[in-house]
Amino acid sequence: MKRETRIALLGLLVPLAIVVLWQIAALMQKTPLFPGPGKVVLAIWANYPVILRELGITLLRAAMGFAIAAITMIPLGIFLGRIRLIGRVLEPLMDMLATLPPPAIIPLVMLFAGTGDWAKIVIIAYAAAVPLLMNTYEASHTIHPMLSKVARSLHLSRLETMRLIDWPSSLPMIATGARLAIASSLLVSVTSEMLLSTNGIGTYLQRSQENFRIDAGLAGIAFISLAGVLINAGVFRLEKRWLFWHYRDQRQSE
Amino acid sequence: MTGILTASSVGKSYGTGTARMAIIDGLELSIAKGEFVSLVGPSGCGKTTLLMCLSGLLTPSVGEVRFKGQTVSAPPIGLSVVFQDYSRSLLPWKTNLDNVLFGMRRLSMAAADKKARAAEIIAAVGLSGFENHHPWQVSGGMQQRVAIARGIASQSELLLLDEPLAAVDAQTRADMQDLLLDLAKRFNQTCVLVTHDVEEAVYMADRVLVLGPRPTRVVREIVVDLPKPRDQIATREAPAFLHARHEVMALIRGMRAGQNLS
Repeated sequence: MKRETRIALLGLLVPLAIVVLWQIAALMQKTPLFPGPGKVVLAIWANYPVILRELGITLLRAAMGFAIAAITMIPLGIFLGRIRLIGRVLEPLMDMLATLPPPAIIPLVMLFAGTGDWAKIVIIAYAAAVPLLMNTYEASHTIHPMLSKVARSLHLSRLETMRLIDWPSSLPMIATGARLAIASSLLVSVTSEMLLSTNGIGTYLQRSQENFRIDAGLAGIAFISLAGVLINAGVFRLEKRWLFWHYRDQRQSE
Repeated sequence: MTGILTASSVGKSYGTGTARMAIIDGLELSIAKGEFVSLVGPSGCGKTTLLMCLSGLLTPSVGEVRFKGQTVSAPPIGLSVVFQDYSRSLLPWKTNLDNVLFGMRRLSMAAADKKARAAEIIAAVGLSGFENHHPWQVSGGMQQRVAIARGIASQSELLLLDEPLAAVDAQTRADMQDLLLDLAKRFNQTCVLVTHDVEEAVYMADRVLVLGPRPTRVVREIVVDLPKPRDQIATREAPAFLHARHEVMALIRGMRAGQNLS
């Protein structure tokens, strides 16, 4: 236990040391293109209302794209896993889409959907759809055959089997897919804002850089990381709550 | 005789042409209402395939299975299956009570009545106080009792038991045998037990059906003439028990010797 605490403290020392070294390095030169942590803190103080507003816009778009992907892809994945024939036919297509970097479709979507909010949401939804669909499909078609026998012997219809057996038993893998999808949505939402600049935190970062306000840009990055940490913590709590039956081994050993 | 469950000229095979493998061939059986029948046979003779055909989880290649006079094409209402692999057959995200209630989904009963009935059955299998535990929080024997309770709760008349006690330890096993006999009587269940344990087959049954090597069929019927309730000590020492055990054992060992020669 004591050893654990020491390791944890050391882990916190690393970022602290980086900040100290960064400040020393910044003090040793005069260029405004290399602001120290002190300047970044000042920039946070000066810019936080703007940053929060822009970040809010970005997160809202990311959430909408993610939600659209989740609502459509999770049921589709379960369906394709259960109706194996269609699933098998579509497998090569899914594999091809899975290896395509989501930002690659940005120019194409711009062509058809323009540069507005919905264009970005479509791109985000696509980015989130791939990991969600792949993981749900994988989970659903590898469900233990015993559970299918149980479902049939309890007279469940196909639809009921999907809803009452396949969906809950796929949840652990869907959660993994959701984590990937969240990361992917955030990545693509920031990237798309840099390319189709109108508003959002990506645009804010781009503008800061164009105006040589590196300190303001770093302030924005700090907020993005903070949002990432909070979202991850939220997802972790939801997993603990909904998947307690899956993580039971860890819990028993505690 | 027309039983609650009958199989006539049932055959099951996989593959075609030279790759065709027959598992069951020309099997006949009839189970009367209220009976406890054990199915035993040499290892790998196709016992489980047979049970799957009887339950409607598999469709026979030829012949037909009838439950209460109706041809079985999917698991019929009134027939429950208890699987050997209890840990996978229960839903880990549901509590023991909810697992039992899950077996009652199809029943047209008020929710409160369902709950009362589930509680009654849970008490009968000796799990009162564990209703709100999850299956993975209780022992293997207890998990199998939840699965049995779920089977009975689904307004079952016929329990098909696929080596239900093969995975529980020896002492629990003896207790579970007595519990199953007690439940069969109390809830008016006709039972078909598939087992590879000859002693268990004889101890539990009114009638033992001995299955032949693959492709299997019923090769011998042995009526077990022993009083009920059975007793783990007295029954197992009774001459009728020893006689029936001897007969089944000799048959199966004979088949295995024959198989080894071929």
